Amino acid sequence: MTAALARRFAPLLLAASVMVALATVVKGYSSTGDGFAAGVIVALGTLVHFVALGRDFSVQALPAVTRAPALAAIGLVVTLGVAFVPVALGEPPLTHWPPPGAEVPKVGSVEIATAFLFDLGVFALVSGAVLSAVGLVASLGRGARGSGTPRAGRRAGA
Amino acid sequence: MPRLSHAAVPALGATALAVASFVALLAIHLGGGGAVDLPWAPTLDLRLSFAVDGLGALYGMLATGIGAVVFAYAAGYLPSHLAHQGRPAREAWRFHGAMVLFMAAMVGLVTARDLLLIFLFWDLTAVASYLLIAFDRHERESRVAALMALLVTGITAIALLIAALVLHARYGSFQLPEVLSALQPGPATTLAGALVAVAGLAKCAQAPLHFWLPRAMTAPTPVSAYLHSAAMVAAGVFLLGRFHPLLQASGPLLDVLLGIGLLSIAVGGVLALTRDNFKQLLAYSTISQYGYVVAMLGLGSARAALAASFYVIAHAIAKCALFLTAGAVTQAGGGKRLSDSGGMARAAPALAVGSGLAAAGLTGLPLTIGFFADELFFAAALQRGPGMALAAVGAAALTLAYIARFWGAIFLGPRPAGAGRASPALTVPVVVLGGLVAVGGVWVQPFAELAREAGTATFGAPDAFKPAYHLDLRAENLMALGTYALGGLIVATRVLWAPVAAGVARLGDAIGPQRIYEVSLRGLNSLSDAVHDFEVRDLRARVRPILVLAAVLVALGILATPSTATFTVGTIGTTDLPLALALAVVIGAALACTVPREHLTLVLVLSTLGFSLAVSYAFFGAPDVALVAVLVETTITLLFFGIFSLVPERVLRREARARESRRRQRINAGIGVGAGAFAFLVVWAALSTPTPEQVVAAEHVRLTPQAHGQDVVTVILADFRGLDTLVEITVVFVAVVGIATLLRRGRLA
Repeated sequence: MTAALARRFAPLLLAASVMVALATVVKGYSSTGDGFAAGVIVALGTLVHFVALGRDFSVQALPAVTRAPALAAIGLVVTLGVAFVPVALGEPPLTHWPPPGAEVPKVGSVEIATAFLFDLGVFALVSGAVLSAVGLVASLGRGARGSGTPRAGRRAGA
Repeated sequence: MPRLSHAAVPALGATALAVASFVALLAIHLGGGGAVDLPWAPTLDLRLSFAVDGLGALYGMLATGIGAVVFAYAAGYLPSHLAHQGRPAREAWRFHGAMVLFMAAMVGLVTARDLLLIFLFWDLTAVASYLLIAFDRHERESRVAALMALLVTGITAIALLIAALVLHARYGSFQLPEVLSALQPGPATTLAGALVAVAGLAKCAQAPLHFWLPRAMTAPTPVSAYLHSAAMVAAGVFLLGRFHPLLQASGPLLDVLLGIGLLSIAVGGVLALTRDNFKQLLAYSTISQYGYVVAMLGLGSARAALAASFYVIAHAIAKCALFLTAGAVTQAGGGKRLSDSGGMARAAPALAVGSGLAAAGLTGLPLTIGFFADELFFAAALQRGPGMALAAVGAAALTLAYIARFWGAIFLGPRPAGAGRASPALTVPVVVLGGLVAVGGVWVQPFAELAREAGTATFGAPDAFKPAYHLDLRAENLMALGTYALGGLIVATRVLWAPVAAGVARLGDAIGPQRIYEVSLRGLNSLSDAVHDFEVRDLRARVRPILVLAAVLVALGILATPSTATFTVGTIGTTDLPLALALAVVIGAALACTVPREHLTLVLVLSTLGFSLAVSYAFFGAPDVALVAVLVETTITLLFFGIFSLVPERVLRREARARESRRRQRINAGIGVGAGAFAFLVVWAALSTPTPEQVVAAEHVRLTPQAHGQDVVTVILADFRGLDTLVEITVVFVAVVGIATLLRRGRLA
């Protein structure tokens, strides 16, 4: 009975967690929460989905999990870009735009600022990384059991 | 007409890139040199500074020019090499990617002006070399050779890094021009000079660190021709040239270089005379020839610096051609060993002419660029004295002997059965290089001027010697004639000295540096296995040493620091009661963790511990930390559930029932209590001393509105301490890559 309930509510929880995560990222600069917390929220929702509905169904229903490593890589590139593009322009690393004292353009409650972009990059990376980890662990049971643990690197030079 | 196969596309792209880089370097150099300076961490004095001077232009054009020829050769060589081994043609992309990486690293190395940048590119060339030597991954010999090359050049690269740090500590700058202009003799300078010399000598395969180069010949022929004759080993002498002022100020270091150079000439020359395999002979020849260059750098005069730079150019062109010839002959069915090849002159006349010119260039016959290289070599040796001149003649005679043997054994004599024609794709590069050797024998001014500028950048003062043909009895000409005579004598009397040379080679194999390397590596492997078997039985056994060592170090720290007025006890007010209650719950949960034996129960108790910690963060007034703690705890707990659901239930039941011996339980309990006690003492001591951190926190709170935010923690993460965040999330990324490698052997999808 509880299993059936979990199966009904897991997709709803996932959708809700994605919304909460996005809200956390957008409001990060003005209230509690930041890109990291948002990323973990998304990953948590997906993990609940995996645990409740099983790995095969989840991977089938959420193809985005297989794209998670790419998402993590994109997040890393975005954060590295925000940090080091100012260096190419002659300023110290991680110089944010708009500079202190200037007006921040807003679209609704979303701020157009490099700090927000940095937070988005962190969000993408953390969610991608944890989703990759979840996907990798889930695929452990899916027929890859016979591979055993490789004793890689035990004897150098062989 | 070579087919534009799938494997040729990356080769042609790489060739185009190499040609473009060569033209760009030439243009910059002829335009007076350029410089780029981009400070990217000003407080640490780290700058991306590059500049093109004579020395950089010479080695850069060598790397790109020879690279272009080798890439064109690989367009024809690699497809048949891969097809022969049954590998897919798209492995050519990996090959050419590594080659282009190497070329870029070389250009970066020769133009860098920042000591740490030089080290970075130096290591990058070693990494590219490793990837390329181990290209035939399925062959054990390739893997062993690649590891040997990487260990020898990589460990000595650490010496280069230490030298950079020593120079920074002594002279206060990482910028090479500033350091070299402020040089003063002293112990720090000598130490830095010695370390730089070690790094450079290992890279250009000088005795006693020469043993990796012949082993690296298991790489495909284009790799040997490019890296291990013309580019990577040239990086070693480039380093010695770039740091020559440092070596001059370092006491007797130049004489040591001279000695090592002469030793390498002898070792390489004698062993080259005994080798049968084409590429082994050429490898020992490379060791010997770079002995020339190192000896000239050790002579420490302007003429010697000019001679060294010119010799590098001449040797690179000629030796590359000979390596490419060896590959072409092998592919045409002419075998791999001198003893079962011969008569290729009739089968591949163009190849014979091209390689003949290159061989003539290496031996210093007239009308080749090698004649001028030897003339400069003799002139520099004569400046030092008659003993050095005699050694120079002997060295040149040795070179003539083994190169003559190499070319003669391949191309002269009767044609063996089964030898086919050499494909034009492989012959044209050899002919081009041979032609360049001949052109340089007639029109030597551009090469000489380039070498002169490089020599000036090396030594600090120019030399006005102009290499040219003089039909008189000056000393250099006499020495050249003596070389030809002595070399011919050595070739003619081969029967007399061959057993002695073979005996020397066997002695070197038995007690030489390679034996020392192998013994050390085996010893290190055994030590690692022993420690592994001792330490790793299960997860608890892995954690035990970490806890014990941490406790020991903390105890040492507490004993070593003066601890007056630490370990104060504060007062607990009424407002602190909720926090005290939360902490009491934490303590209770921690103690409760020792009780459960079932895995799932233990996970739930651990999560209780985590959640109560999160509650105490909330009571401390840190909502962001509490939020993250709750999220991470939930994720970890769910992950545990997921993983345990994959383990068969009988395994979980068996593990829950298993008990360790009484003695082991007592040891574990003791280690746990000890580590916990030391953690307790450290935290108590840290919280007892008042810290000035409040100033920094107040600063952050004050500056937050200026950073367009209201939540201090988020602003700190994204702005004030943004670089810390960057490093942390990079660690997260690397951790995921590690999980992927462990679970799925590197495949992320």
